[in-house]
Amino acid sequence: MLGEPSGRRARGVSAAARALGLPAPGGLTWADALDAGAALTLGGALRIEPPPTDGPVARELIDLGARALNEPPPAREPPRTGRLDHPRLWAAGFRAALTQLDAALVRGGGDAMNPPADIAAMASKSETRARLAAAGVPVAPAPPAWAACRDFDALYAALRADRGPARGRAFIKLDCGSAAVGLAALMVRPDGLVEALSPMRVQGAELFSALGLTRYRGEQTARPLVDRLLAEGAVVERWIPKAGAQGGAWDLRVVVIDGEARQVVMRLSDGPVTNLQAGGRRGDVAALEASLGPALWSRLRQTAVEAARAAAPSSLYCGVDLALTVDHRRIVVFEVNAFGDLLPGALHRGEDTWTAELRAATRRLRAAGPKP
Amino acid sequence: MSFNEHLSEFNGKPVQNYDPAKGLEDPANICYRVGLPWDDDTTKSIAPTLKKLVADPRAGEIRELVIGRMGDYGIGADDALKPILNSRKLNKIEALMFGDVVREELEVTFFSLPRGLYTLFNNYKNLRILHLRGERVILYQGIKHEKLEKLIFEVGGLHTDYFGTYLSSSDLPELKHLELWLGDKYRGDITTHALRPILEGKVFPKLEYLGLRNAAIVDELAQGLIAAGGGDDALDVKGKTCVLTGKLNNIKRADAQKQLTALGAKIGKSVSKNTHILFAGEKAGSKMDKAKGLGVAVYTEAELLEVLGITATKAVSDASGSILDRLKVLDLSLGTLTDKGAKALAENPLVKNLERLDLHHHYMSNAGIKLVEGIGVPVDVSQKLTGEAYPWLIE
Repeated sequence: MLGEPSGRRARGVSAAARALGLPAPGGLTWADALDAGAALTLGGALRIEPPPTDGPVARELIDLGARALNEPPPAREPPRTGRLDHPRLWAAGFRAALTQLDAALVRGGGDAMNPPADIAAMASKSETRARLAAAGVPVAPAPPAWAACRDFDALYAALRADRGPARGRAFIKLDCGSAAVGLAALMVRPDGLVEALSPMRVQGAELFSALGLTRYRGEQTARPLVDRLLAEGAVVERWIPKAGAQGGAWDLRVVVIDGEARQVVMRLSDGPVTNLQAGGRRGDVAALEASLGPALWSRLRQTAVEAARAAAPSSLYCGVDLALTVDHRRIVVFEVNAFGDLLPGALHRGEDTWTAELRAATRRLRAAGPKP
Repeated sequence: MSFNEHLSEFNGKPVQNYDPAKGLEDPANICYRVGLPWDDDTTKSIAPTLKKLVADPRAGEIRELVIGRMGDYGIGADDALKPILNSRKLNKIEALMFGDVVREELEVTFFSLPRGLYTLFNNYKNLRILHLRGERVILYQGIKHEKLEKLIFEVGGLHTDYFGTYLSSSDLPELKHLELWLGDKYRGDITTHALRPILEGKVFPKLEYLGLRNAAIVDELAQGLIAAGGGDDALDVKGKTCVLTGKLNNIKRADAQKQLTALGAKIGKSVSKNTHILFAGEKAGSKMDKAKGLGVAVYTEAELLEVLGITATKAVSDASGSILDRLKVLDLSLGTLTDKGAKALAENPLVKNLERLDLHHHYMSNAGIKLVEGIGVPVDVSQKLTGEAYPWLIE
């Protein structure tokens, strides 16, 4: 397992291995993997967990990203809690590191549960959107006029001129962001007043993750945040109104494992952002399933499977975020997350995500037979 | 929470979208809904659809109607709803909901409600339930209706001048359920004082449920529910520094100042932290903003006239009562209730008579929660929040 050995993910995987009677996974940290670089050789079955977004490893990725993009590495700042450092460079570094991992797997004859190329695709919102759309999986529309906007003023003008459905309301998502990181909901009222809601805070040129949502009212207040997100590379989608139940608007995180929709978490929120770190809460999945009925429920699950197949065709597992529109007529997929299985306590057929993944991986290895 | 889901049931019937092509197939068993889908970006207004509905041969059988998104930006509710506001064919209607729009579709302050509410009250004599959701609701006289049982104002904020004063002087003999969404100072300036006739039980003799929801002044409201015993009904200006601003319609400003001085008030020229009361007439400007910023109590011209004894003071001569004498449910949810409000509720002997107390979404400490749980009435204290206090719906 490549990841942080003391983290919650590692603990979940180890516990699952124990429960299945499998040997404890060997540990390789991201720091070691990055140090080894081109010399890294990986054999056997590899499970890749996400690298940290802060600390020395993040710094290495930022430098790696700067090299990959032929840019000078940014100056080092003293660390600060919650700060999101150079997300664009970090993402470029992460892509470069995944390329190195791919080469290491080829050299060692190893096999990744989720191959680096798939992870790289899932780590980019625009790439994920493109793959989903190409496969006919429904995504939120992203008007080209919005995609062309490089700063707040341009986007504000585009939103004011917008005549599309649910007009004047957009989601800005950092291309490389995951979960609620780098997210902002933006709306321009009929009278021109603009308002953004985001779990991010901006100070000068720096972005910080905050707990809960901050409301940015008026152009002067919203501009620095929007400018910053667009400068770091973001997709701008229509804000599709989500269906409501159990006292909130909801969406689903469906973990797809080996082509099957497994653990489901219902995320409920009073506002537009349902991510659990941004003030969302878990809803009652069984009650939701009962209220929607079997046909709609199986369509939701099936859409998650199709999204996983389209965005990450060679991956054993991923988390798919999807929602039903307020009128229950359409399903929209928001995100396919290579690391979307950190859902302690979410069970399907009595298994948590890690147990289900390891069991599926073992099954796959057996079916493939011993490697020559 | 209705703010997140379209109504699925109304007036005891399942809600179904009205399809002009099919017409009113079963008005006895179905509640029809007319509203633009969230992704309809071409239809300007629901008025043509409503016209068809009214022209349907079975329109007279309709007992209830739900209205969703009414039109494009800039289409006022009065225009969109014209075919039904003035229709005599729909006069059997018992239940109406305007603004069945959820937060994910549109913020509540993005769509308006009709100003022609009185047309509605006059034409719809059989109305029992009226549920309004939208930016704001405006009253310019009391409501008089023989049959209205349930009235819900689910709005961004409420005002003293164009709402509170008139609601408090309404004549609704059958009203059992009254739900008000008060908002915060940015969306509404309604005061506890403006609701006093309601809190004291002077109006609405059959009221069983009172919802004072989404209120930033909920602590004050909780305190205002205490039966005052006739002591401090009238606003007392003695020894207080008062400032006047805005256009006064019924009294000259100089006269008002003179009379206030005679009552022992000190008159201030500008609003500062030493100001106790701001009397604001029409088009009050910077002084009003400043007063709100400083938390200075703001009262209306109507209240000024009352203080000066020019209009009848509503409650002074009566022994003060409390609406709690007849309420079954008191709902102070979705607001910014703190331990101050909890204490007022716990110390109020009449709260014990309630069947249910709803305080969810609040800022009470564990001690405050213990206080209200000790009252002995089933109480909802879920959604305990900390930090800077906001009502649930801030727009």
